[in-house]
Amino acid sequence: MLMPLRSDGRINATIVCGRASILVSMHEMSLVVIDDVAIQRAKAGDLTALERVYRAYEGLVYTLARRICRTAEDAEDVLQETFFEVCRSISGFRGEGPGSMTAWIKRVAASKALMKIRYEKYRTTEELREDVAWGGKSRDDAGLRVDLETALTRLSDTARAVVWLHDVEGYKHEEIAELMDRTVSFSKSQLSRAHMRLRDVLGEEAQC
Amino acid sequence: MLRHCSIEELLEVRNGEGSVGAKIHVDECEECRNELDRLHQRVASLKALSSLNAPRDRWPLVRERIVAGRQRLWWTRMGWAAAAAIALALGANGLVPWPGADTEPAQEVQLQTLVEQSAQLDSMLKSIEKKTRVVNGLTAVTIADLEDRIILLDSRLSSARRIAISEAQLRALLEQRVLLMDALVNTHTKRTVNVGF
Repeated sequence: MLMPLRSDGRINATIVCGRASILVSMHEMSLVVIDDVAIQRAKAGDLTALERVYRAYEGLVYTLARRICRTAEDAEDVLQETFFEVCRSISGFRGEGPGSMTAWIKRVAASKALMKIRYEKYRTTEELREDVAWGGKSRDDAGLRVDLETALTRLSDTARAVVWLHDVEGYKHEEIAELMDRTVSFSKSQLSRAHMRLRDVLGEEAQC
Repeated sequence: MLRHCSIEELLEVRNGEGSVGAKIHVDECEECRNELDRLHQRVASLKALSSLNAPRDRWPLVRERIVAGRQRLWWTRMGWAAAAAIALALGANGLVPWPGADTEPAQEVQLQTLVEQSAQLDSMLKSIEKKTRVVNGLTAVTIADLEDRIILLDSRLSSARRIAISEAQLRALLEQRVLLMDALVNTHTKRTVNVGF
């Protein structure tokens, strides 16, 4: 059984047009524009410009953090830590244009989110949780179809982080391995594992 | 390939990294082709998940930390320069001691030692803060509290000469600063050590 694409229109996107990066909220139809001038002011430490950077990227950062972290509270912490780091380090940001700033901020956020899941020591118990709750096909609710967001929460923290960073954010296995301080093979195996589990949890028939 | 592709092989095929055998098999096997289609669908569904908004506005907290950091830097520079100048003046022969102070050699050494210890902790803190880590709520509160108290102390140190405090008071302030800085460095160090797979 396949998951239908969501069509509620609540999709935010950062569009880079020439020298401006526009964060578009399809749902709320709001626009936040970050241009080079604002970036230069932010680099100089102007708090108003820094807030504009925050407003422009908070949705993107929170979404990434929320998809990786287990709880909304953790994701909020990641949001806060990411922007504290961004504000503190922005003067040394050497990228040109909003596009590279988006990539930089996302990388900071990914790093903070991964640090968070390590810090919270979820990984020490997640294997057990998976085995108990979702191991094997003999479980009572095998085949029960759940939505994709719920299915994501059923993954281990590491597998969820890898599938999100690789398949949604477009990171390469080499980059994920570097962020996680692990090997490329580890990243690849976590991605496979994530897809197998998503397939099971979503109730898709395993044909192969 | 005589067998169906594993999910690992299908992921490689999707990423354009699969073996020739796997690619040929996917072309020829309807089941594996369907599985690959489901994989594409699943990824498309993930990408289509709605964007999320933080339930609370975190900018005020970020701003507060930035401002506090700047204040601390300012007070550290200004207050610290004043405290160091005072301590050096007290420790140097021939210079006028602090008004009303009985300067004893042991105390002069102590003041200089405290200045050096404090400076050392300052540089340690700077090196730790460069490796920014995620902080849990309790640790963040502890850090903020320590930073606030250090800011206050630095403020008092910077105005030490103007308000003519005694040498004993100056020493007490410096001792407090060393203690607080030590606690701050320890807090940062502990949370750094705790991080790890």
